[in-house]
Amino acid sequence: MWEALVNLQPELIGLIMVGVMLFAIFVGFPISFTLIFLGMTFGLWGFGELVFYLMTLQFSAVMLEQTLAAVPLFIFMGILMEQAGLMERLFQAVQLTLSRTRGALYIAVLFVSTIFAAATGIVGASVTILGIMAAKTMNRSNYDVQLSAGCITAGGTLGILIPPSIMLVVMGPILEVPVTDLFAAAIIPGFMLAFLYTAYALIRCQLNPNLGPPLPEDMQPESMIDVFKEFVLGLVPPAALVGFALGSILLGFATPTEAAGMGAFGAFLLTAAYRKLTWKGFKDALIKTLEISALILVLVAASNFFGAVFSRLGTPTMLTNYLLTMDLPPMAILVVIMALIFILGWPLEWVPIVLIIVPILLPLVEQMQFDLIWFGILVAVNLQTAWLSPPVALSAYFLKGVAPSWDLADIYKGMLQFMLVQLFGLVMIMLFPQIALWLPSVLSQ
Amino acid sequence: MAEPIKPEELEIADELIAERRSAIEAEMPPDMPDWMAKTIRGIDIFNLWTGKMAGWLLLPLCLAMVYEVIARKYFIAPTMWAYDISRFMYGAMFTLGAAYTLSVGVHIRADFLYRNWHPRTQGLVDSALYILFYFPGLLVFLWMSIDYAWDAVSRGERGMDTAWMPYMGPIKTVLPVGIIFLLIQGVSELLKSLYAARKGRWPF
Amino acid sequence: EVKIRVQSVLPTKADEIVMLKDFAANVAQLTNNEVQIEVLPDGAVVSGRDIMQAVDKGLVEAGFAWTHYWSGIHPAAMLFGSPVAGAGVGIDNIAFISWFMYGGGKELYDQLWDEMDLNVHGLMLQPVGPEALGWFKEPINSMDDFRKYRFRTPPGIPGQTYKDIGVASVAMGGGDILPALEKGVIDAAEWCCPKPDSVFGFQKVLKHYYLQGLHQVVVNADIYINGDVWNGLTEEQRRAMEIAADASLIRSLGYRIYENGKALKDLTENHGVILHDTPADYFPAYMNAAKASLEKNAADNEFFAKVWQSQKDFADLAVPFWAGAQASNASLGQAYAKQKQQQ
Ligand code: NA
Ligand code: NA
Repeated sequence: MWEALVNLQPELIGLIMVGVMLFAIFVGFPISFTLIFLGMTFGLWGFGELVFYLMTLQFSAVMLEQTLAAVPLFIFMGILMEQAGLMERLFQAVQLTLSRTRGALYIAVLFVSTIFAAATGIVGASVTILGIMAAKTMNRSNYDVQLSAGCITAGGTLGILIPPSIMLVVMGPILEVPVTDLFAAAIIPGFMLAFLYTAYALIRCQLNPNLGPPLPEDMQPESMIDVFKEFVLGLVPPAALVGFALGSILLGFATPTEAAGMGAFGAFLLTAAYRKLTWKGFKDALIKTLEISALILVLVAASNFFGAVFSRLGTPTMLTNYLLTMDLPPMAILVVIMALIFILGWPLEWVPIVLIIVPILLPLVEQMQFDLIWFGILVAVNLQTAWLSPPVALSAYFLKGVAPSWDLADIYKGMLQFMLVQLFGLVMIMLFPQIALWLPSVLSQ
Repeated sequence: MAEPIKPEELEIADELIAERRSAIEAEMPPDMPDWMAKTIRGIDIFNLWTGKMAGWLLLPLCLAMVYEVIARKYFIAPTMWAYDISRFMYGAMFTLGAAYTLSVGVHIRADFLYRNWHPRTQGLVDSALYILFYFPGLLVFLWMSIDYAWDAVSRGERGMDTAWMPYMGPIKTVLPVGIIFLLIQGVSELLKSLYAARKGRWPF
Repeated sequence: EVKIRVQSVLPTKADEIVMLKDFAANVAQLTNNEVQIEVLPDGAVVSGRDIMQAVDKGLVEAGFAWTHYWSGIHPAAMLFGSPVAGAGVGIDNIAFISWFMYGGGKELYDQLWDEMDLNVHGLMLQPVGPEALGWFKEPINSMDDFRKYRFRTPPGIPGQTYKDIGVASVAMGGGDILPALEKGVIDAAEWCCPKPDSVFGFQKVLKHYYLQGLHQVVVNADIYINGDVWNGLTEEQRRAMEIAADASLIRSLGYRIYENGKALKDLTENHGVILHDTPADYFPAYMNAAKASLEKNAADNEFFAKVWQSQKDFADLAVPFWAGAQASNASLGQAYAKQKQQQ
């Protein structure tokens, strides 16, 4: 018995490792360390003490990967923007402008979250700040709680799709495609989703006016000139920052990592210009950037190690060959892959999926000769649903945190509606790859 | 109606953070032995300090990128060093910051089962994992990474990704240092879990 | 049966991998399938820059890259992988093989791994050069023109030498190069030779191509086998691998001329790529800077000095003959190419 275990085929050991992983991470120990333990244990079983050296080499490789230096920079940029309260101002501006429209607050929330998405890559910040700014007003205006919660959470998820996006920065090296191409490919799907959300909310309002009545009289603006002024002043700072970060990539100043540096620097200047820069706030931003970066990047290193053990055991090759013998058409395999990612998105967040699951599927995807940029965007849009799938959907808790009067069940129900809209968008991109691929092909000419 | 929300006090940035706690401000419970309280606080303060130091590495990282972009775009004078400096700063930053991040409970957990358990169970599971896996695993990792860093130092190894060819010893030495910080923090975390396992509640 | 897994630093479709598999097939045949070489792609087990450490420790049985890839561990690796500007004494890739086989190169090459304190055995497999100067946004007529452009240079001493002659050399990861060219972050870049360059896609963005360059006149790819694995082979198996390796030298030389030729024809005829002669003042400038750099390294490092001396001794003996004989071939070939162009 013991001998049979020791001499088990390495490929099968890898399979057992992944099976155990799916249970082990739900023990609730920090995922990074769980992956390290699993990789070490199963690697030791499969190929002996060399696994410890593999750990060191993989960790060091992540430390030296220059493209990932964009991660802390984009995070810092997002935190500074949010500290400065610049987004709050933008929201008020849009809200005033659209004060007489039915369902106007939905438009305002989604418009602001789209701009916000283009300025940062942080979802939680988006959801929370919109929750703070909009929830009270939505309550007062007798807006439907479910639809409101759905709009805020769905709008918030746009941040990880519309560039700059940390998820795409992390995904680029995994797929071995330029991050700039992924950025370009994500822009149209991002706006398409924003449009779909808005359309959904407005159609619901048309069918049932009680879901989003116009702004009450006492909140209506006095003069159109004030509205216009507020609109311009609210829109300029985030637009400037988007220009700084994205513009430096698109206009040919910088690589994505350098652009992240420009964005972080731009956010710093902007915060200073708005006199929102304090010594304490700055130090706070630094330490929070460190926390989130360490969380993401240690996990990147840990899952790279886990993946390297898996690959050293030979399991991916075996799995790919097995799936290929099933002789399904490529589209069917793509649907299976997407379903798998979607299902894993319920219990997991995007980080472990991008880092652990995607590399496992990648050899198969390459065998099918799918366009990797298209595939990357499909994964990204798919993973946005992970933010909208309760119960493991942190955005629900952020929103509950800032809108305590909203029932968690209502927030869940609202999210689920928009998750369906999201899935509709995913199917669109699957059927019409040009939604993702057109812009990068134009930009490279 | 719950208490009013003060936006400036919210931890809005930590979207991925399942829980957060801090031994720095927290009162240690009175039924905790003195040596335990002192150890926990001492270690957490030590790694708060290492975290603060590591956080500052963002500055040279950001400035190197800005300098490179401007020098290259407007002065056709790209640097030899910006590329390497940026990845060294970034690599050192998260490696040295990992221990601090553990101390504030930020490393993400898939905790939708875990958070419903009794603190006693949570403490038991965590203690067992720290003792059985965390310390042995990281000790071997430390041993290997010292060997790895020593190779780079003793050979005077240089980076081959750029024409600058910087010495790799310093950045590779950061790895064992970061692991040592993690091991030290592990002691504090183990004590917290042991306390929870014994008393049925977390110290803070 | 012995299984040797080789992790390379290249994607699976690269020409180097095609020829590596050709070598593997020959080894299998020569050993009655007792020695099986399996090629793993870049990043399969460790990242490219860690392959040597991984082979040394036995994490993979073998690695495949260019010798100069390891110049960071020992500067003399450059003299075997890509002696800058032909080692400053005009050694081209055929002359390099002559030095390697008969001029004492192989003995020094075997010694290199001990100097690095690595437990590996190397077999030289694929001479690739000469590499092109590179791709430019606009034609350049002199070094002054060259200095106006942001140029993505190769790493290491060949790149440093560009910095030394005042070129605005930019460091950049491989994945960033093409987008950076598309967006104008940089204006010029080098990679390798017509075939790999066209696979890379430079022709989509830049049209002015310069074949004659000095930074990597010779480029050699080799395989490194873990010392214990190598010593565990039988005498016959080791001999079989050495013979297959020698065969690979000439097979890949032939293969690359053919493949690069096809690629260049495709580039100029179907993609509007314009070939230019490199400005004359480039050669003395680069050559002198390279020589200075070689001299500095020789002064700093004993083994480096020893290898370079061996190359200089060889050049003394053989380069006048070989360069003289080659000159007629080159001018004849150039005349034919010009004639074709005018037709
Ligand atoms: Na974004
Ligand atoms: Na979820």
